[in-house]
Amino acid sequence: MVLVLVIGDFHIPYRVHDLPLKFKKLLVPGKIQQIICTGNVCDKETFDYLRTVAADVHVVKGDYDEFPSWPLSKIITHGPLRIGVLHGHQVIPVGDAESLSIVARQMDVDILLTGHTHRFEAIEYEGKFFVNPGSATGAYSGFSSEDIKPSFVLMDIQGVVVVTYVYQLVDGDVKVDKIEYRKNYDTNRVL
Amino acid sequence: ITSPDNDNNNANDLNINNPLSLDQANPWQEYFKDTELRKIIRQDV
Repeated sequence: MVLVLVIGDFHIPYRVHDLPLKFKKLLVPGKIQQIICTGNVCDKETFDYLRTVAADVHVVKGDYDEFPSWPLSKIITHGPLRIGVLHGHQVIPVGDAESLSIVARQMDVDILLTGHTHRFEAIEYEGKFFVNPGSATGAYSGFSSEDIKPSFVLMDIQGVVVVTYVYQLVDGDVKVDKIEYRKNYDTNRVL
Repeated sequence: ITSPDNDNNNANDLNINNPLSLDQANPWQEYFKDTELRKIIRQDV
């Protein structure tokens, strides 16, 4: 059993000055084994903070990141599961299930993690699982006129089963939701 | 080792039963304590 934190779109310090205090209280070291960040961290301090929560941090470059060494996409394997990470500004239309599905097929991944839209989303589409953790700080986004709720995702990976916990900050309180995904082996698949 | 999934006490209340919750009744607290203990046992053996 592995606990993987999926978090991204901080936009610190350009749009928001810090992570919500209630989130910082929840993210204590020693529980999470791995962090996958969908990009747009923006400053080094925030990245260093992530490394204090868990030593194993995987990060991809977002359109506001200025770290030349960060890759644009990454594939991480957990046993039978292949997890792809991409910030998501490369996918047009932004956050569209059909175009994300094409990317997932190109990368040959079972789970695709993207950010960029600042809106939490977790959908199963064509047997693959697509997760967008939303913005951890609730930073402003040009895509939506409504208020953005700060959110992140914690994945509990057990073999082919992924239990996804969603943490959202609604009216100053942390709200938790749970979604389950199971990878199905397609027996009719032609190799 | 106790699995947090099998504990039925607060299984329905996701605001308590989730890996990051700091609530005392959270079955995950037990799980983290157990894994910590197992780590120490493995170190000693």
